[in-house]
This record gives sequence, structure tokens and C-alpha cells, in this order.
Amino acid sequence: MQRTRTTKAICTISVLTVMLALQQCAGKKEVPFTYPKVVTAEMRPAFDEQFQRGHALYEINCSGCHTQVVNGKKVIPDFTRDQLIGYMLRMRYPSHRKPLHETFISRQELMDVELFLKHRKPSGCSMTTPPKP
Amino acid sequence: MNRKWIVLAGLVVVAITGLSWSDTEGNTAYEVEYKSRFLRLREGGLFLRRAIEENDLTTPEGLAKVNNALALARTDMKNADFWLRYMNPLAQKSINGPLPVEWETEVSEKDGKPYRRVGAGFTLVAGYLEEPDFQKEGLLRLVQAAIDGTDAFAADSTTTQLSEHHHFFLCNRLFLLNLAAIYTTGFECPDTSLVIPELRSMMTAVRGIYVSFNSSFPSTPVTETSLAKYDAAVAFANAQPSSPWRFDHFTFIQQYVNPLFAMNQGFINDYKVSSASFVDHALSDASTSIFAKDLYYAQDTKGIFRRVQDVGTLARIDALGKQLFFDPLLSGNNERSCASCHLADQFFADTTAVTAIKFDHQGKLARNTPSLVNAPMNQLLMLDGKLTTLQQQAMTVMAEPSEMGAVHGDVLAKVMNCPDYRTELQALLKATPQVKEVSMEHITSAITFYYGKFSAYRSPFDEAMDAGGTISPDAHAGFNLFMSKAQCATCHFVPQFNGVKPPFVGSEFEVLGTPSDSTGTALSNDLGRFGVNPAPETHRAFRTGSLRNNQYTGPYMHNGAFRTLDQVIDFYDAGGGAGHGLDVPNQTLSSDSLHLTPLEKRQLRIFMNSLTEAVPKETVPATLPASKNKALNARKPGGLY
Repeated sequence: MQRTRTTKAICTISVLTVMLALQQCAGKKEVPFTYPKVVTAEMRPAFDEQFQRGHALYEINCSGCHTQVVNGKKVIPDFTRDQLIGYMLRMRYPSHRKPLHETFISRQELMDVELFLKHRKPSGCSMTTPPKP
Repeated sequence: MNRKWIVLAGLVVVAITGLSWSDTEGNTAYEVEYKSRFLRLREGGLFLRRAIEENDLTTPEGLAKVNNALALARTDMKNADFWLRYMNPLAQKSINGPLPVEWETEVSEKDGKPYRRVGAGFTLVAGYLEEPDFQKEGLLRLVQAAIDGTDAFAADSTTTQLSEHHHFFLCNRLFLLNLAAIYTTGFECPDTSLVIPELRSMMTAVRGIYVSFNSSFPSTPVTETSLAKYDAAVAFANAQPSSPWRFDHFTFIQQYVNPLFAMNQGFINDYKVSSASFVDHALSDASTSIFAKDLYYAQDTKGIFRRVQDVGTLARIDALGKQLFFDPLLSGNNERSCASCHLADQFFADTTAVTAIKFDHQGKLARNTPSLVNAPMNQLLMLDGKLTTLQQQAMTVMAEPSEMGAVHGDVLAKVMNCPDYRTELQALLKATPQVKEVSMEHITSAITFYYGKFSAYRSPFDEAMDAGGTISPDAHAGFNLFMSKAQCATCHFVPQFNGVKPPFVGSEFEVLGTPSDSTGTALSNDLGRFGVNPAPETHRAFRTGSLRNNQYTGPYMHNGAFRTLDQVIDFYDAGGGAGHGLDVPNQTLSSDSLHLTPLEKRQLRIFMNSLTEAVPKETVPATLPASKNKALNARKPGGLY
């Protein structure tokens, strides 16, 4: 009896934790983030704006291939720092050549996306290779 | 005798090594071809080094031996050029750097500081040998850098590409573009008499590369049709006179190079060739002609609207852009518009003024108004390359106190105070979901999208190149002069005749010694690129402009010093500023006379006139959107001055 209740509680907590985690990295909603140390109080509004723009641009340019669906929820995967080196994003992966061409996303916009992906709280979902377009 | 023996021994070593690779490592015929070409280039460098070390260069005999070794090394270099430029453009600069020091800004890092690149290699050796006080050490340094550069091509990161077909067609694309742009012009060949012999040698070597590729990659071959066309091109080059001055550049490009380019683009698409190289960054896989305006991409005219594909929405952005272009609301005093200097019926240049009048009517600006037509074909913008995007340019000119004298916040408020503008901009906000509010970027982007469309038109020269038709015999002769004796094409590159050369990832600058006015008695005091990137090489350097529409876009040069094209041609013919006796120590143009005859000058001009594009004449809108501020409704479309 005791054991069943404990198991139930653990199950409930796990499910809640997973749901919470999924909600945190879910698609369009406000994505939690941490300010980098160099961002002072006065710089925060500009940072917020760039972060939101980066999020919107991620949804427009990247999510089609990269956002994963876990248990019916959209999850933005965690990219490594090495995967997010500015202009390398364009050229290192041949499949990026067209979708990340300057006619689709500018250099500044690419930096916005980079900022968004680097400073959002990790979702805990690792980046898997996206399907070929 | 001795030299021949060493070369022979070298070749034997190459052959044996090549064979052993093939046997022991399971290399394909194509890989063997690659490695043997580079081994031979390395041998050529070593042989030249020995020739410099062992000979007395103060004697004619010693010098002759070095020059012979240099000619052999250059041939080896040309025979590997197919891969050199594509597989490792940086190492290529140390084997065949055209200048001792170059400042480069690459397309992927346009916003960063320009890089200082030290050139080395065989072209600089040739130039250095011409100097009166050359030193052995200097020569050896240039040669050693070339030898070390060659080793970079043996790196695994480079040679792994040889196991797939992708790089081959991208190398070939660059090779074909350079056949049109630089290989026949003497761009990297100080000795004019060697240009065509080196071209022939290179083309024959590339035939061997094609054959080895086909044997190793039978499922993605260079087709029989393409090979036959290529053979015809080689036969043409062999049958032509050996002097580049008498070589028929027009026919060579029109009948052979451009069709081969189209076929290679077909291979790139059919064989699903993919690139991970910066070299391909600007190039389009869709373009089917070297003379098509979509050949390469340099500037985004759509700006913040870049992802909009809907035709109806684009038409609305265009219409909005036109009104804004002619609207003096964008200036500080509501009297000046973009069209004040970029006249809509004059290819968006200003032929009426040497340089435009300043905002406060007190004096003139320092630089001539450049045409906006083909501005999107530049990687860097402004005559000093200060700016990197068209939208930035629009923003900067508005805020410049001597030009439009506006404050951005005021401009946005004034525009949004016009109900028609406000409604349209609010509606277009849907097309830019990445931002929540209308900004100056919407305004500048609409403007650049509007005028950008005028760069899509073609000239009779382009049409003749594509259709296989003819241009007048004088224009034809003029183009051949342009590519050879007149030395124009070594800076104004085919196909856009601007300073953007294949693979079209940078804009080049030159120092001409332009005088302050047509009398030619004093240098212009404008320091040009130096103001953006101070260095000895950038002093008085300016970005090379396009020659398209030149007939209708005078006056010429950064300061409008020359009113007629004849004055410009005479200036170059006499060796630029230095040739006119002005002190220009870093002039990049030869100070020698070109010895052009009056007939040749006429033919050059006729060719340049064939570059006039069918750009429609634009008219100033009759009315502009009304403002809630009634005082502003008297403003004149296009501006007052």
C-alpha cells in the first residue's frame, strides 16, 4: 500500500517535471532565459528586444527542421556553442546553404538567432540531425 | 642542359611517387592527377629556389636561368590553377598573390575589419625581378612562401574532398568564370607575351583533369557534349594569335566560355552538387549565363522584407518605396529627397553637377553622385567601401548633415503622420513578423527594393553574348582592346565591369592618382579608403565602379573630375596621376602610356556605349501622401534642390 502510494507520487512528480520542462522550451510561448554577465541593467531592454526578435526569427527560419515534437509538444533542442558560430552556420552545413542564405536571413538576424539560442534556458532535449529538406 | 636534367629527374620522381600512391593507397585516377600536379608545382618551386640560390643574378646568364625556372614554375602553377583558387584561396595567395599587400573584406564578415593579406609567389617574383634593386633574400622569401603554400593542398581537410564529385564542378565553375574574367587579360601575368601561351597550357591541363575525373566518377561525368565544346575552345585558343592584343576575347567568351558555363551549371543542378565553401557564397546555381544579373548575389534590396515572396505584397512595397524615394519628408528641411541627387531619368545618377550642392547650400559635396543602377552588384558600398548594406546607405545619407540633414526619429514620425503612409506601413508590418513596430528599417527597405529593380536590365552587349549574336565590328574590337592592350579588364572585371571579380565575394579598390579637376595639375585631396581603413596601400584608394551605363552617368571619377569619357580614356592612356607627373607612390595603375591610337580610343568608347542597359526612364510622382501637418503638404515631389 505504502509502496504504491510512493510510486504514484513519484510518477506524478516525474510527469509534472517533464511537463514543466517541456512547457519551458515550448515553441511560441515566452522562453525563459538568463542575462549574460556583461549585460547591465540599462542594456536589458535592448537585450530583451533582440532576444524576442531572435526567437521570432528562429521560429521563421529554423524551427521547421530543428524543433522537435516530444509527446505532442514542440521542443526547441539545445545546440552546442560549437554549432552556433555565426557565419559558420551558413557554410558548414550544405543543407543550410539555401535556407540560411542572405536572401532569407541577414547577418544581423543570424546574430539575433544565435543570441536567442545561446541564452535561453536549456530544454534538455539534445539536437538530433534534422531531416533533409 | 643541367636544368633540363633536373626537371627530367623531377618528373621521374613525380611519376614514380604518383604511381606508388595509386598502387599502395588505392587512389583514384583523379586523385593521382591532383597529387601529381601539386607535386610538380612543388618541384617547380624548389627548382626556382635552387636557381636563385646558385646563380649570380647580376649577370645576364644568371638572370636568364632564373627567368627560365620561373617560366616553368608558372606553367606548373597555371596547370594546377583549376584547384588552386577553389580548394584553398588563402594558400593560393601565397603561390600567386597579385599584390605584396592586399586588404580584404570577405562577404561573410563584411562588418568586420579588413584583413591584411601578404601576397607571395611567382607573379610577384616576376614583378620583383623587374625592379632595379631586387635582393636574393626577397626573391627567396616569395618563392619559399609559394612552396609552403603548395603543401597546404596536401592537407587531409582538402584532399578528402577529392573522393566526392561536388568540389570538381565548383572548381570548374570558378575556372570558367576566370576564363571570362582574368585568364586572358594579363591580370596575374606581368609578361604580356606569356598570357596566351599560359592560357593554352592551362586549358590543355584542364582537359586532362576532366578525363581523369570522368574515369573516376563515371556516374557524374563531364558529358560528351561539354567535352566536345571544351575541345573546340582549346582549338580556338590554339588557333588564335599568341598576342593577347590580337586574341579574339569576345568570340572566345561568347562561343565557348559562356556555353560551357551554362553546361556546368546544369551539372551542378543535375548531379545535386552541394557546397560547404565560402568561395560559393555569392554564386547562384540557377544562373545560366555569366552575363545574367542573377549570376551572383551581393546586396539584399529587400532588406527587412527579405522573406516576402508574395507578388502582391512586393508590389505594395515597391509602390511605397517609390513615394518615399521622391519624398522630401525624409530630409531635415523637407526640401530634399533621394531623387534630389539620384535623378530618376538619368540612371539615378546626376549628370548636371560635378558634385551635388550641400544641404545648407554652402558649397559642394566632395564626391560625385554615383548611379544607383547596379549598386546592388557591389559587395561594399560607397566609393570608400564604408558601408555594407543598401539599407545602411539609405539611413546614413538621410542623417548626414551635409546631405539630407535629418534626424531618424523625426523622419519616422513625419512619415507616420501621413495617414496613407501609416496605413500602408502598418499593413506591411504583417510581412515582418520578427518585429512588432514600424521602424526606419521598413522605410529604407522599401526604398532599396524600389530602386533595386532598375538593376535587372540588360545591355546590347549582354544580349549579344547570350544570344550568340553580333555587336558592331567597332564595339567588338573595342571589347578586345578593353580586355588586352587598354588594360581595363584587369580592374573592371567581366561580367559586371566593376571591381567584383570571381567568385564575387569582395569589392576591389584602386589608386589611380585622380586629379582634383580636369586640368590634372594637382591630386584630389580625398583620401578615399584610407578614411575607413588607414594603411599605406589604401591612401587615395577608391572602390572600382561599374562601367555599365557609363555613357549617361558622367561626370566621371570619385570627384567628377572628368566631364567626358574621352578625358577618362586619355587619363588612363597617359598612365594615370603618376603618368601625368603627379606624386602617387602607391598607384596601382601602371604609370606607362598605353599607346592607344585615336582609332583604338574610339573603339573602346563604342564598346563601352554597348554597355548601356535598357533601364526604363522613371517619372517623378505627381503627388505625395498628405500629412496631418498641413504645412508639409506644399512639399515638392522629388525635392526643391
